[in-house]
Amino acid sequence: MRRFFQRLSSAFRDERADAEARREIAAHLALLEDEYRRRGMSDDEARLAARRALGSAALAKDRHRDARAFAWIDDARRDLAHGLRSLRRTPGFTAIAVLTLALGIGANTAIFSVISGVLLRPLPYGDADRLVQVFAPDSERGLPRGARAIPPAYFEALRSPSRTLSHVAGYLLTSATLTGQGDAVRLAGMQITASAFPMLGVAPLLGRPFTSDEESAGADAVVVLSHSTWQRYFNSDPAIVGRVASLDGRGRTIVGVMPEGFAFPDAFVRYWIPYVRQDPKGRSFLSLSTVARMREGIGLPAAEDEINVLALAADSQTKGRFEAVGLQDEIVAPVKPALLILAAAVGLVLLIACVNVANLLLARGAARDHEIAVRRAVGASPGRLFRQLLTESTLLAAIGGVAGTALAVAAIALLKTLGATLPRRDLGVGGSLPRLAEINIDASVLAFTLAVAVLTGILCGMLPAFRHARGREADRLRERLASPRVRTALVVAEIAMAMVLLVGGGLLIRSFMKLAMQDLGYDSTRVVTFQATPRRAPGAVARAFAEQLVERIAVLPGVTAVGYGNNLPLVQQSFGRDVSSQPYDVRPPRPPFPGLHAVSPRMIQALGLRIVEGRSFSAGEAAKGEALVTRTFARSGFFEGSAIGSRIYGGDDSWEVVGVLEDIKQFRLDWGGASEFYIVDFVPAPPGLGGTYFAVRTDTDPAAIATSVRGLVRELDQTAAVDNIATMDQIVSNAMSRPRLYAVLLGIFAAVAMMLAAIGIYGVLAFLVAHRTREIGIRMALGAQRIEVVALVLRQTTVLTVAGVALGLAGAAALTRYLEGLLFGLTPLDPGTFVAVAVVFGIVAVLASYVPARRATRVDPVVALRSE
Amino acid sequence: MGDKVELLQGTLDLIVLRALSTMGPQHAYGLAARLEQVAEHPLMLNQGTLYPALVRLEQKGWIKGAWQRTESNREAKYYSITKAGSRALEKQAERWRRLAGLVDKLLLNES
Repeated sequence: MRRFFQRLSSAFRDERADAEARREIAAHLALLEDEYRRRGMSDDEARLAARRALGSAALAKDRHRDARAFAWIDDARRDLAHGLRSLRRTPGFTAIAVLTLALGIGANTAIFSVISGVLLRPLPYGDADRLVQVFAPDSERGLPRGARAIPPAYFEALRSPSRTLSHVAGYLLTSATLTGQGDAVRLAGMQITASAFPMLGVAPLLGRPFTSDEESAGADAVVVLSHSTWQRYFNSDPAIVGRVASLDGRGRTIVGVMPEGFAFPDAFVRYWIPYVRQDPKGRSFLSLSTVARMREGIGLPAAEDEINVLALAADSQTKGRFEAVGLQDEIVAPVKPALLILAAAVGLVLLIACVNVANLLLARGAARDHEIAVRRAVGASPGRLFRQLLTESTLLAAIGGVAGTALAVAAIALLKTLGATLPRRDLGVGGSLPRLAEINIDASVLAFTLAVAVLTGILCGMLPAFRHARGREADRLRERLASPRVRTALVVAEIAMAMVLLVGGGLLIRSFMKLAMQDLGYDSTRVVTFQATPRRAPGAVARAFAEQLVERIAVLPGVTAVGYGNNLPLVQQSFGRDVSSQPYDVRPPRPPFPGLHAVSPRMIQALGLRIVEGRSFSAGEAAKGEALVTRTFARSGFFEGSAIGSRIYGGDDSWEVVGVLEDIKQFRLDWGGASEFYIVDFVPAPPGLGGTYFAVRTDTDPAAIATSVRGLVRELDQTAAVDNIATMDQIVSNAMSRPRLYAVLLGIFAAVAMMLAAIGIYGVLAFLVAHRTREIGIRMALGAQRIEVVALVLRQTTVLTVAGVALGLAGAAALTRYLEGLLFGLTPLDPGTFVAVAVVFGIVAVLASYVPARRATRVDPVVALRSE
Repeated sequence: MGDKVELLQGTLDLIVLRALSTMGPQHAYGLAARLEQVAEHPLMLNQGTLYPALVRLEQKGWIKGAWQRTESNREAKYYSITKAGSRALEKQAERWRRLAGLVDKLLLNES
């Protein structure tokens, strides 16, 4: 053990030990010389004989050193120093290689940090892998899984004692206006069962979680605040527990504050109040979103089975199966496929970068043949040379890795900007990327980068290092590697990989453009939308407030139309009402289940909805008996014959259809038309859904309108909160943030890949031109025209490019089907994209060969001929 | 190849220790001269090969080196055997004798 440290330390105390060894060998030589002189040799003879007797001094020293230290540490140090020297000697090469590797490694670091933060890192709850989200069976209405919350009767059954589940927590969206802490503000909140905080394994920063007694209707009103609410509206008061917060005019005792960074179920929730148990036999109820914690060692299928047993016990008529999905899987499900595609894309970029650097190293290797030959002649073993060349490429990759990490930091900042969405719960949670705030470069990301850099260094150094390896076997290999054919093959591979990325990027960009340019069914320009909610809002009060506000806004300069309603396009909520084409229909409701929009008559103009048949609402009281329907609803088969003039019946009410509207993008931009109908009514907001939406169409600056609106609301009601101010354009843009993010990212990667491939083409052509200088010289001497010389070079380009593009298109055709889920309005084999990408790449290839071609025409025949 | 080096190394270590123990402190050159005598074949040993053995022995703590002047007023590093070295020499010598005896016996039986 001591020897180990001695050797280890001597590897680093190299200088002194070396000097000592030199001194000792010199002394030895002197003594030998003395001896030979004594035997009668001349001075010179004696010196020679002494050296012969001792053997090569360098070798002796080397052996000395080998015995002294772990030779490899020492070698690695020398190789590093040598590598640095030789990289410094060729700054141009080094810069290009480092930049190439930095792009490749940086892109991988950035995407890995996203994958690590979103997919890999557990959710920030205790033992988060045991949390599952529970969904009710699909009803015949075809609701997406996320909307299949659990009716209270089932929920109560699920939270009875269970073998597989340790906690079951339910939650319900709510919201309230907070008053008395500065301006009135509308806050999104959650009603949660008392089991929620213990289930998540997160204790409050201050105070306590809820008790199960607090779930009953008569209990004291209490609230737990989020960290940000505590900071923003209560000045981080350390003695806040016990104070009272006024929410919708009701005083609630603050019993706790959650720690910073705690979010449940998402970061938009600003406070939590206890869920008040609903009467399971009640006719009207709200279904609960449900999360459960599995007991230790219980698998998902076992938990799901027991959930279904409990559900059947609650209602033996239960149809369909309750589903349990890992909470994290559920949260990341919308983005996982895209992230994996992006990971594959950056992998390709790195591979291209590797090929490029390998090619550069090969080109440089050709220039270094001499140096290598000398080193071999003085006794460097093939293994040593191999190691030294690999050290050089790894050094390059390491520098590239450092630069790449810097690039990745910038890329993540860009990603967070691109991925940022309007901070509103009503536009859909998750935004472009769930857990966006959790993405950062941490130790695991750095470890990944290090591993990638080392692997990259070895990968791109392998070929050049083999080329210089010695031995008969290697000689043949060397000849093959030295030939331009290997380099050509590398460039073809590079072009093919770049093509695959370009096609992928092209498809996403075209798809995004289609998405962005489609007809929305409404005119989103110059419309300001906002919500204004009076503190106490029984239907009549809220309606009077809305009417007065609309009246005052209508007279503002520049306002052309103003209206209000229960919903806006792209707001993620839907209101329904069971309707029929027959009065007092007793049959169960059938599809379509149209979405209900209760609006003021002018809302149609304010939103810019287009009438395609019939007319809009009439003015005055008559409008209350009228309805407008979307084109899809009109053609759904609901109406017998023409929709116009037909009646829609709902309970005691009925409406005459007076007009048909163009289909609108209500939920998602990539969904087709849906059945929607508009009636003139005022529906007070149910708890949790944020009240009335106003829309103001203007022919001036929407921002100025927003300011005036705030003033008007305050004049009308001091305690009313104005929030969710956004132009309709912003809302539409927000809805496109995810496809935009994917298109931009894949577009950037494709552009980088194309640039790298262009550098590759340039490199191999420049090499070929240099290689054939003499030939070109002779041709020119014999009278070849410039154009013919250019054609010579371009012929090479063509061969390379056509082969690479053909391979790439074939590869893309095989791979783009993985993009299918991300595409809108085109197929993965969209011919337009394939052709366009091939043409673009052809142009880039010609541009890349321009400089070598020009250089070829500048060849001076005399100089070229003399060079031999 | 490896076997031969192993054997040579072991032998060399033993010879060096033995030489230092019987002749007192010696520099590398002196040791080399001594080895040439013992080997009865002057070309058997490239004198450079001695150095790794010296370094090895010094690292094991079996010999100690110190710079001194020779009779001819040249400077040289004189190596002397340490106590640990003497003990090791005894042990190694015993091992070698036993091994040599065994090999002898085996060789005799074969022939």
